[in-house]
Amino acid sequence: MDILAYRQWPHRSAVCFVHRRAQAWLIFCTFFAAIFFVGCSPTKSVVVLLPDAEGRVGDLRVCSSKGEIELDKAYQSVAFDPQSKSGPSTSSMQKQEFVNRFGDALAAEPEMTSRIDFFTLYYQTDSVELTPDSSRSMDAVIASLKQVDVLGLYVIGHADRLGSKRYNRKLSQKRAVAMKNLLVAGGVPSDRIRVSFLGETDPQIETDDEVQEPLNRRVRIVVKRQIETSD
Amino acid sequence: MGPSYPNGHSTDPAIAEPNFPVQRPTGKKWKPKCLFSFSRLNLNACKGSIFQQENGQYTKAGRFYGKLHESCLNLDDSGICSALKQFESEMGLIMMNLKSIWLFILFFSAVSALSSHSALAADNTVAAITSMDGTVHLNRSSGENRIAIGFRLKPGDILETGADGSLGLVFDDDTRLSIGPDSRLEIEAFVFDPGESEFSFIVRLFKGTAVYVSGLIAKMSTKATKFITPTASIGIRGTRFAVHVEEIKS
Repeated sequence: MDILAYRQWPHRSAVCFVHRRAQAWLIFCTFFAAIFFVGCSPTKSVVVLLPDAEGRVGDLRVCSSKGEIELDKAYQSVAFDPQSKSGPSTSSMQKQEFVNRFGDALAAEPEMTSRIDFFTLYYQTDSVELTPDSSRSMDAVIASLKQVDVLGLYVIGHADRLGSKRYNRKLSQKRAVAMKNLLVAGGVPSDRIRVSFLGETDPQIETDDEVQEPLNRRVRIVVKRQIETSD
Repeated sequence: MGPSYPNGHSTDPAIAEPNFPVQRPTGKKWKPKCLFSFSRLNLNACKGSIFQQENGQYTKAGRFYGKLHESCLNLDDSGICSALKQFESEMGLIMMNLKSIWLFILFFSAVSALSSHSALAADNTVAAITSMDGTVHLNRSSGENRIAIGFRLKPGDILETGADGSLGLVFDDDTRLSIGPDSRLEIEAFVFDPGESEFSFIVRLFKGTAVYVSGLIAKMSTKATKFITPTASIGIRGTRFAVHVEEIKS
């Protein structure tokens, strides 16, 4: 079998050459995915921030090899053109251009049957005790979570970077569980609540290790709500 | 399991003498490296270098990647073919020594990979198609490509639309995505597992237009969410946006 395979090997043929190139290319792509795009025709990316169905505008952080840009206004846009010499800058996209570019994609947008909002509550250092401010707002949070339109509740615990990763993972878990207990004590059905925790890995404010950051000592409650349809 | 290897140059009459001598040069230069491809779970993904003797000097004559027995296809110079045969037989010997250890590791990694795979294989779909218009094509490695409204998509699926096509989909975390005409989009990763605190949402738009409305994942873990284009990477903190990847006309 081996001999047969050996005799069939193409010697110094074009096929051999192409095959070798193709395979080398494939290996290259696997390890350096970024290089993949060099082979394609050059493209430019345009990103536009939009208001959601309720008119709320979030924020986006767009990164490229030429730098990072934040968008936080409705219809603010940024273009990433690898051939332009200047770095990316933001501009406001005109309605006509917006419709021309995205009309078809907008028409295909799935209908909203639910919406998602969230509450963030902050904790004292190395503790499962809420800050006085957050503690005062708990009543309003619980009242909102007892409304009939709630479809699902997710409680996610976080910690700042003071202390070890492992310790902070545990701490964020304790905070999330403490929050669930608070909600249940306030009358929120416990079977609706899912608890997750991310330790120090997903900060609200990026910091160096071993830095205290009150805004990162938090629990977020993410709520999925039914949208009342008018018809 | 795996290919068979020549038993060594001296014992295998089928192997012809190379038409120029290839010997192990003194020093540390000659280091055949063999890498096993764990992702493919077989023994035949290797790489190495071939050295050639000229005027007493050894120079690197070629490198090869790929299967041992087809590695000739990947050589820089087909004159090395017969030399490779000897190289191969040496590799065969090296492999034989390593094989028992590797086979052991491979066996267990295969078993664990397969068992975890089959557990997931039950239903690893992550999104459903909610609307379709015009020419829409699904590119899936398993070959299945007939899609309709309600069809469930998996990570790794690539969606393509024609000049008249558009498509809308909703992910299991309520992320909504729609693509316009002449677009190509890949669902690279999707994990929504609150019980295990694992979240990941990676979508790649190669060309065309897309509109994104964030779901639970973007609200729960900002770092888990990525929308990638050939020239930019978008980090999402819960919002709605549109992306257009257009070819630059020169």
